[in-house]
Amino acid sequence: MVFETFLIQSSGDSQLGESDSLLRVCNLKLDFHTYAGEVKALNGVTFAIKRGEALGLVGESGCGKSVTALTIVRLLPDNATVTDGMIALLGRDLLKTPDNEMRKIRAEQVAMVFQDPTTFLNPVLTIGQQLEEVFQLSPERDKAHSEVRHKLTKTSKAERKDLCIEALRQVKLPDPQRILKQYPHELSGGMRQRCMIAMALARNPDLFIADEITTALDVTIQAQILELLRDLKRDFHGSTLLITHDLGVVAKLCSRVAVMYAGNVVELANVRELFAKPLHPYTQGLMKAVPMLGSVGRLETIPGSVPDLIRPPSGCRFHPRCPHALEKCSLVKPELLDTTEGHTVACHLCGEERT
Amino acid sequence: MKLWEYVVRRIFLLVFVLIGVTFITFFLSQVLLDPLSLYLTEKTRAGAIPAIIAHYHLNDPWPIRYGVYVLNLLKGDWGYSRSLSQPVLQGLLERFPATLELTIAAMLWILLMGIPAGTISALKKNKLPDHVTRVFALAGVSSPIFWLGLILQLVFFYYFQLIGLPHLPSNGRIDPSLAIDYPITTITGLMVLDTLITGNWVMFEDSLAHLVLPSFALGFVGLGVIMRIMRSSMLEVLRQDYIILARSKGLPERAVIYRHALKNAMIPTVTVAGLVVAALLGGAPLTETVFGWPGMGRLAVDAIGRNDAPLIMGFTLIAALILVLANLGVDILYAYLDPRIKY
Amino acid sequence: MNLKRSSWSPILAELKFAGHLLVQNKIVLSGIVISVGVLITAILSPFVVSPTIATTIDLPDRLHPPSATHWFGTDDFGRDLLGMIILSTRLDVSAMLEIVGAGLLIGVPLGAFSGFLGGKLDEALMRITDVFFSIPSLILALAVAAALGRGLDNLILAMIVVQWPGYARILRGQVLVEKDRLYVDALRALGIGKVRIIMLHIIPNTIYPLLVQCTLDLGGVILTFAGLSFLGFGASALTPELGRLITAGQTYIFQAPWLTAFPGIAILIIALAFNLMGDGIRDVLDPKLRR
Repeated sequence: MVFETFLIQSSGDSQLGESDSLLRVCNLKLDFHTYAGEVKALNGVTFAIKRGEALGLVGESGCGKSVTALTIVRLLPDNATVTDGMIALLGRDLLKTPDNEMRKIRAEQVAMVFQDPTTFLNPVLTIGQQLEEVFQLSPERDKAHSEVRHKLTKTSKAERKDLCIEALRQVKLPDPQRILKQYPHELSGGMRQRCMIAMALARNPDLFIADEITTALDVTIQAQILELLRDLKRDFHGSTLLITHDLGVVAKLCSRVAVMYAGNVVELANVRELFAKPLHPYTQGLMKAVPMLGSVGRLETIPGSVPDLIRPPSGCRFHPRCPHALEKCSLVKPELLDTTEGHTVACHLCGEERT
Repeated sequence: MKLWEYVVRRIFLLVFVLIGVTFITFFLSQVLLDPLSLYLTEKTRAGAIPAIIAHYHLNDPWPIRYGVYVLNLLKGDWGYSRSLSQPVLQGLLERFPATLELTIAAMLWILLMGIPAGTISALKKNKLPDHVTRVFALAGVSSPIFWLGLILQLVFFYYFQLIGLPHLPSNGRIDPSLAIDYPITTITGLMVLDTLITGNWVMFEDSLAHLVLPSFALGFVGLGVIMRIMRSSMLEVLRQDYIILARSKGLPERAVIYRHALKNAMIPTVTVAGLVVAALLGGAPLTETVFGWPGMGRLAVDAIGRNDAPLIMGFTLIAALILVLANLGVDILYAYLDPRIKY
Repeated sequence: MNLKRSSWSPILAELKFAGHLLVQNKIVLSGIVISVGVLITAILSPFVVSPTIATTIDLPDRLHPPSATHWFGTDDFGRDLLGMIILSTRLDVSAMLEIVGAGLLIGVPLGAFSGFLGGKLDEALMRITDVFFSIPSLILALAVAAALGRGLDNLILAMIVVQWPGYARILRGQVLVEKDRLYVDALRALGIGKVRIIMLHIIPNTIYPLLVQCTLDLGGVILTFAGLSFLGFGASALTPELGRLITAGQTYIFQAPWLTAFPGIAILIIALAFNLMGDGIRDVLDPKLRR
């Protein structure tokens, strides 16, 4: 397969080499058609996830994180159009995959958990019904993959029930037999979220996408779910895309982080590196705004507000709010460039400093 | 609360409503009209009148009169129909199966055509099937039933005959001359069913043919209503988040629609079903008149011409009873479909 | 919000804006155009067509199919059918408006006060409307008309009796939602009386579902009215009325089908126009209806 020019120029390319990466998103651009105008939601999103890696995708509301995830699984609403870019899952361009193949990919390779367990579970079906249908899908032995795949043979009802109970046990739900017979509204928010996670992990997918899965929950439940995810990570060998606006979550669960702003990935680094030495002015602003143990003094905010994506700022979309903006920043969109230590930034300042 | 407790409670409320209905018929037949006319027969002699007045307490204050009236209703004395020369209740019950058959057939049209059509309309939104369904449904809710019946007769009976096509009968439930040769054994009173059970194929075909046009005319309005509501509720459901999750599991589209969407979409439709039954009952007098169908509705219409108020009041009571029971059924069905509601 | 003023002005402004949205939808626009056309026909009919044609018998000309002189043909008295239909609109349209209008006048205040005041009054109203809803509307109208006696006024009265409970319920439901809102407490705190609150503030805020329902009802009412007229209620046999025309046409349905077809099409068009308008209004006001 021939790929478009991969925009991350890395000196140590082996980190993001083809054989290593599970998912590569290159220069993804997407528009929404609305009555108010064309919303240019994604403006060239680029990142990659290695096998077995947990990548955090961070950014404030409206920056395009969820949209990116939905584009990967191709479940966007009708008024969305991908205008450029490529999404490669194990070498296969998902944007060019036909619908029936995409369906198989969703069944076996990519699993997603969503933000609000109340609206994302079907109110008229029991948990058991919604969980077992995952086991009813017939398997596809894909010879191109040498991965060990969870075997989904034609299961009987009893077998499925056992699989469901096992799946619920995995997410530490007590009394799974009872829960299978219950309806979503009979469970608490935290329990519903665990059920959704169970539905996703049951298929042992290659890529697990978690879209703000703790945002709709109480703080204490959030903590429980994060605990759960940490435990599950031990047995889960696939890759994870963890979408959140909470830097704390990222710190706990991810090895690498991508920071998004207004439809762009502006910084990509290892978690430690990002927290220790944020390079992009936006990331720096975020760090300053989050209270951390040992921080003293006032919390700072980033002045201004999120831009209107129908008429986005020219050049670097962050330049109106950037304290260090150069004239160049309003004219030319900065590319994602590698600095040392596998730390990638899209900022003219960093580029300037490099030279 | 368990389901049966809910049912019991609803039946209790139902009784209250029916009492209210009897109050209306009481008011209409004994306050607005001459109370005596309810109980006089053509054979009553002038001398017997004081006894009748005493028996029904017609000179007493209205609370007593009302109480006696209701007691008599429960005993089966719904008054006397001079146009039928029969007690009202008996006359109505004799023609009840005919109306029942017509109404059930109309309901079948509505459910078997309306629900699939509405669903397909939503799935193929803004494409040709959608436009056709929407026009059809709009015509349904805008057409006068009686006129539609007449036009159907004109086309499918008269014009088809003229052209030489096989035509549908326009009048009655059966061809009376055929019935002499192939007598029908009455089991349920529903002729299509009875002839089917007894294997009377000639009359089965005949009664079925007679049922087609009137039931379609009666159901046409309800068909439009159900098509429209299935369409709108299906569109609403398909926008929901749980549909996105279902698709993200890699389920085939068929499963997404039948397993996840349809059951949810049926819920608003079921709530409308009560209205549809009301429309069917209200349309019965018109349809039965146009097609000469020997049901209760036509009875009531004929009663108008003959100033037979007792019969009209009796028909009102039966119609209310049927509607109230149908609404109960709808509520039970709704409770079954939607596990969220607390009874 | 300026609490001293009534809520009518902002609501009316919203409606004006909604009106602009409405006319952009072609289908709804055609509904509006037809409705207005029907209204104009009804108002102008005695000037366009001489009322005397209803009572003029022209035997040689009877039962003619549509022709150049008589676009819709003639009936068994030789009367021009198109003229009869135009004359009929006057009666049918005015009956329609009277029935819905009176139903509103009775139902809206009853429902509003019942919902606002609550308690036993509210319970009683709910039970009463329950009883009315448990009898199919045509049958109830039939029974009331039978008890009141033949005649047009009695038929209209009977249909008003059937019409008001629906509006009472809609208002009651809406008022129940509105009265919990903060602005009502604010108005009470200002010392404004309950009646003023209801009439000037609550009712305007509850108007949207009512508007949709009324428009759709106008279509429904004419169908029921024509149906009952067809059965023999209402106006006398010679008065031009669409349902009656069909009754008369029924006798000659196979020889002179135009006598049945055209009046029915007229009824259909009128009902269709109001249904289209009602649908359109509902779609435009939809987000507001969900408040």
